[in-house]
Amino acid sequence: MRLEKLFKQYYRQMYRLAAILLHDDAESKDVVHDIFAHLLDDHISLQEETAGSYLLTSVRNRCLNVIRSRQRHERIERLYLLDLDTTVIPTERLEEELKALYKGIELLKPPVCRDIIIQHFRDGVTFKEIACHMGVSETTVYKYLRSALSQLRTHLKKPMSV
Amino acid sequence: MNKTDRLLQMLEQPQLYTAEEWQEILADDECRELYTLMSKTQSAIDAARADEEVTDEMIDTEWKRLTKPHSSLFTSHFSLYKIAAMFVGVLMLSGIAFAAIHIVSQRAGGEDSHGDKSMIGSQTTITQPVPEILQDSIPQSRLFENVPLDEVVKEMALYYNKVVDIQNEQAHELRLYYKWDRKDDIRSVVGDLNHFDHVNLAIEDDRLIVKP
Repeated sequence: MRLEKLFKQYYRQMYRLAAILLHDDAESKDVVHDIFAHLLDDHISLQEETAGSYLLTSVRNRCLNVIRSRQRHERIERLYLLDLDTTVIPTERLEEELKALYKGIELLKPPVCRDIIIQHFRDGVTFKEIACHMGVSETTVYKYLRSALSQLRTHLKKPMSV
Repeated sequence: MNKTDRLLQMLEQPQLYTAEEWQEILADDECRELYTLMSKTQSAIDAARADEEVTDEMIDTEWKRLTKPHSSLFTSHFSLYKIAAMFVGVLMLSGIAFAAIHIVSQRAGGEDSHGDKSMIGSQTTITQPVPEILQDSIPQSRLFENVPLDEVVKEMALYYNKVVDIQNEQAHELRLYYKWDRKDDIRSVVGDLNHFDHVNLAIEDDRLIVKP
């Protein structure tokens, strides 16, 4: 079946884009799921050449709808980008920025800065909990965090070497 | 406490702070930049997680989730759609239900969009060039189910590029069931919504106003 082939071919890219925009595993899965459910329901088949861009644009639009439907504090809680217009920045540029940031995270110094970033953003540990585990005050955690973020900022600003 | 520390602290429990407090702190350039940087850091980590975690097994599982329950869901989806298409609107005010049934009156306007829809549904191949596909990929209709009026209006205002002006304090308590066809122009949508009791919307220049 052709749709199955498209699903397997584009799933990674689609899920990845949704995760970048929504910061959530289950919601990202649902977005991709809903797009294909719609294609199945309406018996729509896509042309080979345009299928990829159609699917990825669908992901982006659905994610933007999810973001728009949320209240302000929910958007902030999930760390969505503030201006929806900037969410529509060209995907290539965003990809470059994200690569630079991820590289930057691996290079963070001292190691405690890296740990805090990983624990908070990957494992969802709150700053308060991190402070508790480390046996330091939250202000100290914020200090490391600010240092980490300012290191990341320089990575982001550095033009990517070709 | 400096302002960036305050931002970090606020981010731990965003719901504890008022819209004004958020507006104020995010109006600060330094804080806003820090927030954006954190948002992108989160995205970078989610992208890396996606690269690691999306395995062939996960894709298989997701494909099965898509295909298995599908046939049984189809009927319920269909009837829901049909009911919605008949524009059955139900509106609730503070727990008391008011029902208002509204049958589509603007036949002429409705027919165009109908024609398009059935075309897309029955076509076996989408042949439009990419730019048109971009437009088509925004779902054409959106079903609001028990959604507060102010949220409905905000979502529509974003879409039609209007600024929301909520003058009715009860807008959050009014809940709507409404199927919104994005192809309809804002005037006919506002006309539809105004058929509900207690709903009084108006368009003035670039503003979409919820009147008391």
